[in-house]
Formats: sequence, C-alpha cells, structure tokens
Amino acid sequence: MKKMLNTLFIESPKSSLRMEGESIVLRLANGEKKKLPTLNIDSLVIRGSVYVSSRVLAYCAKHGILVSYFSVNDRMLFKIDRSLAGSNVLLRRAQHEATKAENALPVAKSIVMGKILNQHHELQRYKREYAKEDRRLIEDISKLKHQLRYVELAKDLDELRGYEGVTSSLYFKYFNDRIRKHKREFFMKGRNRRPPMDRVNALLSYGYQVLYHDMIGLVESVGLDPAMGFLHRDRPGRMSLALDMMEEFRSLVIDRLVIRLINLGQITPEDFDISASGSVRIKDKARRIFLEGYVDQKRESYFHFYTGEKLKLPHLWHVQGQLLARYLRGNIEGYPAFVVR
Amino acid sequence: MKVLVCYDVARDDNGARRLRKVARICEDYGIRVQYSVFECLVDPAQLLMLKRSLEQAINMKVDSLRYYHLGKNWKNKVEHVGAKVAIDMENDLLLF
Repeated sequence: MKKMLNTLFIESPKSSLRMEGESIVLRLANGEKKKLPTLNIDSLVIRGSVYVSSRVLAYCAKHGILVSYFSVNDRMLFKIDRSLAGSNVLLRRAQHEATKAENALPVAKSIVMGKILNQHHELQRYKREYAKEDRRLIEDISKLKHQLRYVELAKDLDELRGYEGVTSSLYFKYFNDRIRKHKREFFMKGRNRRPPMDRVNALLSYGYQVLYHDMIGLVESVGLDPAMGFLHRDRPGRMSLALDMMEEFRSLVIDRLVIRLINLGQITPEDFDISASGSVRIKDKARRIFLEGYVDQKRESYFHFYTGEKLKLPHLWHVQGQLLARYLRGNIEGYPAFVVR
Repeated sequence: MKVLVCYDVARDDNGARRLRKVARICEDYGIRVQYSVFECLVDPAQLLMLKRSLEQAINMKVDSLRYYHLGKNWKNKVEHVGAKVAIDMENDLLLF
C-alpha cells in the first residue's frame, strides 16, 4: 500500500524554500528557519510571493513531489509535471483511446453516477437530521435518484451532461438550507465563480481548487495524463481527468467541509473581503482555518466497497486511480466510481 | 514507523567534522527534537539507508549511536514538556 504522506503548504509571503541535502529549508519573513525532511512530503502547495530555489524544483520533479503554484487569487498558475517519474506510455495510449468522444461514455457514466449517489447521500443525511418532514425535499431526493435511470440510458456525453446539470441544481437548491449559522451572510445565489460573488461560492471555489491539486497528484501518481478526461473534454490548460476524478468527491469532501466550518462558527462573515464590484475574497486567516479543516477531513476514513476496508482519503483516492488504470489496461470491465456508504 | 536516533560523538581531532556529518544525515531523515536527538519517520528500507550512512560516518571506537524503535503507535510513548515542541511530520498540518 502506498504510504500516506504530508502536503507542505507555503502561504506566508516573502518566505523562501531551499534545499540542504535531502531536506527542504524553509525561511519565513521573520527569520524563523525550519528544516523538513522531504522523505515525508509528497506534495507542495505554494501561494503568492514565495521564493523557491531551482534546486527545490528540480528535486521535486525528480522525486515525484507534486508542486502547484497558486496566485494570490487562488487560481492554479502552474504545476510541476512529474510525468518523467511516473508516466507509462502504453497506459497513456490506452487512455488516449478510451477518452475519445466515442469511447468515453462508460467511464463518464460511472463518474456521474458516483457523483449523483454521493450528492444523494448528503441530502439524505441532511434530511435525516434536520428536515424529516420536508415534503419538497423528500420529493426532490427521489427525483435526484431518478436521474440515475436516465444516466444509465444516456446515449451520448451531451445528454449525460444534461442529467448531471439537473441533479446538480436539485442538489444545490438545498445548500442554503443546510447552512444553519449567519444565514443572511452565508447565502448563495446559485453557483458562480471567477470571481465568486458570495461567501459560500468563495469557499466552494477555494475548496475545489485545493481538491483539484490533490486530484492531479492522484492521476499522475498512477501514471495517467491529467489532461485527457472522459466527462470533461480537452481544453488547453485544463486538467480534465483531474476534474473527472473530482466529481465523486466534491459533495463528500468540500461541500461537507464548507458547511461544517460555517455551522461550527469557525468561519464567520467577517472572514471575507468584498470588493466594490461584488467579488468576494477569503482573508488569509480563514484560508488557514479552511486548510486545517481540509487536512482533518483527509484523515477521515471511508468504507471502500472494492477493498472492503476503511480507508483514509489519500489511500482511497489512490485506489480509485489504480482502478481507473486497471480499467484502461483492460484488467477490469469498467471503472467503478467511489460511492460513500 | 518512528525511530528515535541519538548519538554521541567524541571531541577528538575530527570530532567536530563527524558531528556535523552525523547531524546532516539525520536532518535528511527526521526532525531534530534535541541537540543530538532526532525523531525519524521512516519505513524499513529508509531506516536501513539511514543506519548505513550513519555507521559509515562515525568512528566506531569512540562514538556511539542508539536507535529506539517506537513503532507505529509511537504517540502514546512520547511525552513532551517545555519549550520547542517538534513538528510531527505525520500528523501536523504543514502550513506556514
């Protein structure tokens, strides 16, 4: 089993990273120095004005440590491609073949079904705890589940995306209800991004970006090309396969985390900067709280139907990546999406 | 698994040099918790490599090394009091 390693997040401006032997030396703006062995790190997330020496980058590329660089506005600007370390050209040819529009449907269906089932699970949980009597919700939950039947019968990707859209809007309809604190400030008017126009959307977008980083790592660690996706089609600069792999986990990991942080009062309405144009940014302090929550969430275990064990998220992701690779090699019939139980 | 590495390097002619070398090797594998004490989170293969490079660096006649194998559930075997709490590479969030 792959060992679960830590992610190093560097958010403090004017800090620097250098190599010394096999360890990374981090120097913060206040002069504080920390030495971290790279042995226990498997990815590096850098944000804003951080100096990183070329030796650090070379070391990371060589040892398969994923480096993502985010702008101050939380957009991923670049990542270090470690394809030399982990790529397998035969597997990639198989991936290329399988992601062609006419072949992509089976996996895309599985992904969408996984997503729908996990969204269904979240709404069921909410209903059980807070809204047992809500007729409208009960009806929508069954509608949502009903979409699965259509998905199964979908004839092409466009049709499939249509059903995905329907379920997503059914699911997001109840997002505001699930927020139980500062309801007036934490209110989303639909999903919007680039820039996010309300606090909830800002949190969701940020969370999806962080998850995106992890999904790229997942895909690359099993030797696949993150840019060739099934459900998401090719577009320059877009890591479509990473986006595909995210679908099963959005509601489970990020949506749940956002709601929890708001409901527990760990993130409050004051944690945001709102510009004159209405776009919303998360303040640095809240971003740290968010990342702490995210890392906690990653340590949670979920039952995995395939291995029959409870796995922590990084392990579980790795298993999903291996299952996809196995499907592409022709060892299993289809790609089984992860469904929470 | 967690291994605690402690060392004593004699202060002879080459002592300072060996001392630096030993420390540098340890830094690559773990976190310094006290002056000549390191906590290393390693797998069996990595431990082997660590031991090999350390044992090549010291002078067996005058220096000594001690390894304490704390295993997987090392958490309830370690207690810290006072200043300079070390980072736990396995569980702490590495956010700076």
